[in-house]
Amino acid sequence: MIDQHHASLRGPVLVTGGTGFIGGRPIERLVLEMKCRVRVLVRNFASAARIATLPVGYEAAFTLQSGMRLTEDWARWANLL
Amino acid sequence: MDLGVHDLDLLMWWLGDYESVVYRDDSVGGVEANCELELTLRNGISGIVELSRTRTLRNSCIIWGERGALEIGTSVNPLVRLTPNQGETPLTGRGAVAGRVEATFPDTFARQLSDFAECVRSGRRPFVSAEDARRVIGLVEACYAVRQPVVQPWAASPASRETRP
Repeated sequence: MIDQHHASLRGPVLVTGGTGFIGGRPIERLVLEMKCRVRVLVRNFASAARIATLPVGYEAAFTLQSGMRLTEDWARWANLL
Repeated sequence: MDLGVHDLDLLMWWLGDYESVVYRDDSVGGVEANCELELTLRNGISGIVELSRTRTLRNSCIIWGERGALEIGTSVNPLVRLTPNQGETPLTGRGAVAGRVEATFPDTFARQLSDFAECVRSGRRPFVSAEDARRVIGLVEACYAVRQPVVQPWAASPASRETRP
């Protein structure tokens, strides 16, 4: 649930599942009612048309996954994992 | 509007330039996913164009005349149906390039590139000119200039959904 605590957030909020029917509604509230800056994790941009009507930013899921893999590779290389 | 620009291009190619437009869309600071145009053309024809990224529409143009209606699909190998007003049997068929049974979506790009290459070789004018492109882009810009919020009575916060950038 989005409450007043979340309403006080002003930093970027990352939302997963936002391109779905249910996930799109919290994004609407975050952007239109709580004036939050929102970034949405998107796997398929063709399914992002509904939330594209809002001023949100996007993170491509494959970029994030590759980034995480890269970070893991570095961590392994540095014997951290 | 996205790919809908091609439908507007097609309409203007068939029916001529526009005189005025009333435009509504569902953007609240982002890119519209649904829009509608009330178009009046210079020859007096008026009509409504509805475009959507989120809904499955009919994907066709219906032209109502005094003695019947002509429906033409907007994709490749479009369905064409002529329905007379007087109860006569509708005529139905498919629009296709002469000599080809079925075209595919990539074919359309191949034909564009072939036409461009042929223009470079021969110096002739392209089948679709830059003036045509500028005309339809002009319509899109005219729409954005008079943009109004689409009516969404189901929205929980109508006032907030009408916020314009």
